[in-house]
Amino acid sequence: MSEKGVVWNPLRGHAPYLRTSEQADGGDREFVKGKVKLDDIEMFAISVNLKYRF
Amino acid sequence: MSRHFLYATLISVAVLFSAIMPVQAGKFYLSSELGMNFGESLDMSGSNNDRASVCDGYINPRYNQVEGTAGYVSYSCTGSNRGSTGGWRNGFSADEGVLFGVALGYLLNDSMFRMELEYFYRDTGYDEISDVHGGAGENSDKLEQEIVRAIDGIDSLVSHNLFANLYADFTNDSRFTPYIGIGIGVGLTEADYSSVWARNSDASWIETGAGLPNAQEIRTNLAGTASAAQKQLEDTLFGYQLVAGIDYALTDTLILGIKGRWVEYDR
Repeated sequence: MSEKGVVWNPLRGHAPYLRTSEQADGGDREFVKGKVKLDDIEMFAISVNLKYRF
Repeated sequence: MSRHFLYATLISVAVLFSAIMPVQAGKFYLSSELGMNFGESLDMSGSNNDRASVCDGYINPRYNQVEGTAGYVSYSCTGSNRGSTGGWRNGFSADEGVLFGVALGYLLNDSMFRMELEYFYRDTGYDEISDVHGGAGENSDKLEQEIVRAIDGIDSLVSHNLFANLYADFTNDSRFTPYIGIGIGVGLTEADYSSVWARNSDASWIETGAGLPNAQEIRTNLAGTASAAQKQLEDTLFGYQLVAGIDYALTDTLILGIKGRWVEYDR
């Protein structure tokens, strides 16, 4: 599972700047973009089921 | 508790209905299920194009002079590939949640096999934050030199699944019928993701910019800053599953069973 559209929004923790995502990486209005991926996802499950035959 | 009560009520009504209005059992069946899912631990890898802190124009006004400084000749502060090598790894612990589903099946003539088209929903409540480890490139430098805490977080992992299954029933003289099955399908999967990388508020703790003439300015600018991200991860995953269970025939047409399954999803 992966997602390419992650946008990082660095924030100045103090005055005078509060960065927006458009100013994220050094003042040239370049977005900081990333990708996160979750490797194979496994699942066990146990359930009660009811069937009706017709 | 209310969900269990609802399910018990539905079973009771179905048994009563089946007893009052007996119907010749056919080749088709409808089924519903309710249970628990147990999600395995998750490994996560990340990458981004965030450039090195000494190449960040907000942090270092002299970022375009860094590449000519001894010890920084390998840095790319002005090229198009700046920030191209940053990565990190993380992981989340196993967790559990609800699973429910419905299916339409068909018993193949004169055989032990039956086919089934199944929808099921799973919600695994990971709801966890985890400290980042294993940084690479620009992110490794940040983790080692300036970050006081870096965390990734995911909320519940939810998926809507559509599977085609094939089962083998081991019928016998009793009302119990063990079975095994395999299936393939897709899972429309979602999870809310968030990340925070916080830098130390004490500039004297930060080591970034060592050897640069304005190292103190860089460290002062870095102190107390944080980088944050939030995004809903979405993907359609291919999945396959192994199933085993046992059914008990309440009547000729109504069957109660317990089922276990193992599912793996991949891209």
